[in-house]
Amino acid sequence: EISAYGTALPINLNMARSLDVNAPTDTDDTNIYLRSHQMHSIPEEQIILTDEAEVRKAGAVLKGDKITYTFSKDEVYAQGNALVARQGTVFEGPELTYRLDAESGSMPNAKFRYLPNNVRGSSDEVQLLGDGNVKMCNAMITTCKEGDNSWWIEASTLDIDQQEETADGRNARLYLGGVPIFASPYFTFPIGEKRKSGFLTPKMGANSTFGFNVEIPYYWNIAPNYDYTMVLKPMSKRGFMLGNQFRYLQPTFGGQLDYDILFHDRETKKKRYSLAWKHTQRLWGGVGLGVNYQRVSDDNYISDFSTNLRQSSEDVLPQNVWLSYGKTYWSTSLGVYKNQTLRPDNEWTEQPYEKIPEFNFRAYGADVKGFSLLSNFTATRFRHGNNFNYRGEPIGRTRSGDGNRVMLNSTISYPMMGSYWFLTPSFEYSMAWYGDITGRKYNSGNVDIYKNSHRTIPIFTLDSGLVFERNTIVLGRETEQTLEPRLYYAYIPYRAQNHLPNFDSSLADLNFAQLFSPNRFIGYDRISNANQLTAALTTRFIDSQTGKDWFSATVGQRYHFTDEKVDIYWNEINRKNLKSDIIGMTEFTLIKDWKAELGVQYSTLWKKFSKTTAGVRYNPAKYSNIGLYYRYNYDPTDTREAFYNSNIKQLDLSFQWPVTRDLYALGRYNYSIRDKKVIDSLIGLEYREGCWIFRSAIQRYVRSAGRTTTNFFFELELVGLGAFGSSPIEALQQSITGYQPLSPRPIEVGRYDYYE
Amino acid sequence: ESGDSDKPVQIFSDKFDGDDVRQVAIYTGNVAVHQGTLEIHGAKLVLSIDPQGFRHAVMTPEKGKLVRFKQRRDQQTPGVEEWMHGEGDKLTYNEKSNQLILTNNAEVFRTENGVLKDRSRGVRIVYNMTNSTADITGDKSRGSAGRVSTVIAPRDSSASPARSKGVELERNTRVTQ
Amino acid sequence: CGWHLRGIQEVPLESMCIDLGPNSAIGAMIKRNLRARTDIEIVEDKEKAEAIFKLISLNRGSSILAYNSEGQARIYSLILSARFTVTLQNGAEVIPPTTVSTSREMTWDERDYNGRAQEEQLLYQEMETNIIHLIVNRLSHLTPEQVQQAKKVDG
Repeated sequence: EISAYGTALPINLNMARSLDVNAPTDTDDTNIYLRSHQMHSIPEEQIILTDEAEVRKAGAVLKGDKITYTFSKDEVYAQGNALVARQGTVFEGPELTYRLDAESGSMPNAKFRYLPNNVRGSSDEVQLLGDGNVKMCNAMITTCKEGDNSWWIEASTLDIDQQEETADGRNARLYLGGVPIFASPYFTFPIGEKRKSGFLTPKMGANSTFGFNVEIPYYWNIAPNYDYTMVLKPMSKRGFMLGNQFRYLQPTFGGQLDYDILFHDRETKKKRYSLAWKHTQRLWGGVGLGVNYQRVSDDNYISDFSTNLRQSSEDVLPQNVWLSYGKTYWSTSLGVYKNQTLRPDNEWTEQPYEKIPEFNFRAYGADVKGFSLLSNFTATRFRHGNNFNYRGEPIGRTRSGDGNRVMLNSTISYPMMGSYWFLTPSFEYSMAWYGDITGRKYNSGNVDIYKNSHRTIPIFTLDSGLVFERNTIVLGRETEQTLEPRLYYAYIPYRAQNHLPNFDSSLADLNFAQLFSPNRFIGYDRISNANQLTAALTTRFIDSQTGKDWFSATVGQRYHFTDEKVDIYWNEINRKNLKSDIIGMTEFTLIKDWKAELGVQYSTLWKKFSKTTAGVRYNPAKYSNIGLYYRYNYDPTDTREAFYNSNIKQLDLSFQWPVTRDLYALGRYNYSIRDKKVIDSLIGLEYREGCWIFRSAIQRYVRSAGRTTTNFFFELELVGLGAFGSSPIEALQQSITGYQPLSPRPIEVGRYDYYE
Repeated sequence: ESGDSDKPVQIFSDKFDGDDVRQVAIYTGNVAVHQGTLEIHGAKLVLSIDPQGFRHAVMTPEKGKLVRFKQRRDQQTPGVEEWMHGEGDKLTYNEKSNQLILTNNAEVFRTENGVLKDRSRGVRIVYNMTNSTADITGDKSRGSAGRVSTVIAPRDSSASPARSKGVELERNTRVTQ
Repeated sequence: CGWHLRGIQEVPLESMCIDLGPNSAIGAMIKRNLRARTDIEIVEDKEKAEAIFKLISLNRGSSILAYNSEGQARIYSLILSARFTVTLQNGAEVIPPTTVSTSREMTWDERDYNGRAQEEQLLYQEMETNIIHLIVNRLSHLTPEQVQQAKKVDG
């Protein structure tokens, strides 16, 4: 734009290529734009804007009925409906003085809105400082909408530090429904993602095993890569527990250490503790070090102090440390794998073997000229931990004693495939050497010590299949239906193994994957003889447009042509040529929002269903889903007492369902038909208001020796501030499939999201 | 500059016809008015004298063009030559109030040593030549879009020497309209 | 009644590189399936391929479905989910990031502690072949419009 007098106008506006989110924030060298209906300009001194006055500069927008801009001080003085908006925060008040370059100013009787996580409030005097920081006196702050004063916080002074992303208040008082319920001389809460040392919101709860309890967590952000959380946890029935969590992260190593200690348990009159240390490290030359060590003071610790079902069901705690190193085609590791086996309520659990140490070398070629090669060499010193029952008597070795095993498995397979067929022959050679066996072998009276021995077993398998296809219309959907017959043959010659110790083998759970594996046992100490053929048929309904399976069903069975001679323990068995169970599996999402699954396993031996899973889930919207499942697992050979028994016959109903737009009912009812007992039952509700969410739930689940635990959860979450009380969210997530807590995370703010 | 109003007025134009009876003079064809540092350019000038003897002029541009004026300001800071420029569909000069009034597509801008410093646009601009202040009004009928817009270039304090005037306006001395 | 042996699937992409490292079991399986079931040419060099298959994540998960009457976990569900995308040389997405997943149930108890990892591995391997199947299904149902649209983006 060249004016008639030939003076070049420096202000030429050109279209920015794209909406540049990080526009220049250096506010010095950008123009000032002023607008109003009426303007009186005294060049170089002042401009007075009246009637819808507005001043914009990079980083701030100012409005008012009347604005006086003074050049010398670069200061805006707004009167009447004054407003300043910067970095997503808006301050409104009767008047405002603000220096544009310095980005600082003050406003009396201000109302403010911090839009990213809709925080609003007011203050008698707001001091706007550089870099977005704000100082307020006699401030009120809340996340409730205008006019909704369910809760708010009053503080004599409130400082918002944009760099630390915190709001620090002095002698603050929390008002709930108009009633002051909490006051504290000093109060800080984070307004962003940054970690900040300080007290986290306290928790309260009630539980039938440790009574009424309060948790006061203190978080210490030592450094960006170190932090420590200490939780003071007084419990009415048990006493005072101190929880510690230390996390550390360095370029070459990182980990977490949790140590909870109960100094004096009122009920057991003993000190009780639990320790968990996870650590990974990269040493010189790419060698990796790993630690996963857990330890508790006594067998009942976990079942006494776990707050949910999942925690209380872990009773073998790993105590492992290992070194590992690997390249593309091979990897090796050396480690010590011990464990602590808990025997809660005098139950009697056999401790799994410990490996002190175990060396492993593994070479693998995924596609070497069409062949797939795998070679696995493992040398292990098996040791049994001190096996004592609850009366402290040593428990006899039911399995073999301690010993060493060296094992080499090599597999070669050649997968061939066409558009409608596949054929995969494979040959495996499994060699094992046993030595230093110290265990006894009880064999009908005479005692026999295992001899150092060695066995080699070849394994042949041939996997093959065809795919037939047709295009049809099913339920109005253009579908490609496939029919996939599959035959899998496996041959393993019989090798006597009853003279061998058994460190890690047991009967594999018969499931669909197991149908297509040669060995009936898992572990490396028992390899069953086999001359068997598995036949299976799969059909899929594939949506022609998207290629998604919306229905699939599979059925399969295995036929044994020779008797099974190998068994876990030392007695020979001779099972006649058995047909395996028939295994069927289907999964379909027929109608929109409905998902159903049905898994069936029919035992030819007992002539009845040995496993059934049937379930349907209706999930029409995000916070509404309801599911009903029937699970059945029948194994007549498992006659162990209730604590171990794996026979299951249960109904499981769980739901999260809206009663009204803001009130949600939550529930779970898991009833064991076989034991005529409720395994896990939960009833709860979640109520959502604009700026607070109330959750409460009562849960009762079974524990060992017929005992049960009842948890009471009450939680009040003040959106954007924090939650008080004991949170049921973890328990709900475990008990109700598909449960999602109500409060959404505040969304990320872009520079242009809240543009005035 | 403030001294311009005492200077003689020179008017150049292609054509001139005077009407002594009604004391009106009409100049047409790239008219240029000079008075000291003040210059006004346009297509047609109607000059008249009011009863008290003050001159009154209305200048209109060629079709599709704008009337322009420029005037140098009293020197505020040594070494900085400041000029005030303006343009608009119509310009009226009122000697009594020493004002230039620009109407419709009115714009006034200020340059320092040829570099544009501020610019304001509006529907009507009243430019006071004694103290070179300007009162700009927008077009209320078009709502907030019809508001006056002013752009102030950044203060490149490093380039121009001591630029601001001595007088420090204290916060409490409010300038009231 | 319309049954026929499944034929070679025409896919509107000439060549594709499976970006999964030289020795990845999943990579080898995807290559074999694509070579067998579609007319895409598998190329090892990333620059020469018209499209690039990227496996964004392959996550193994497990959750407890049923406890016995004394609160011991007895039925587990193992979940395998893969997230993948196919992009052209210029980065335009032919298939946006998609997640496919499958799950299997398994009964278990403490006696098999040492053997458990191996038993889960067996199930995860069988699930991997099913995941490959779902991925190849999606790839083979690519429509020419989807590919043209992705090409237009870079134009």
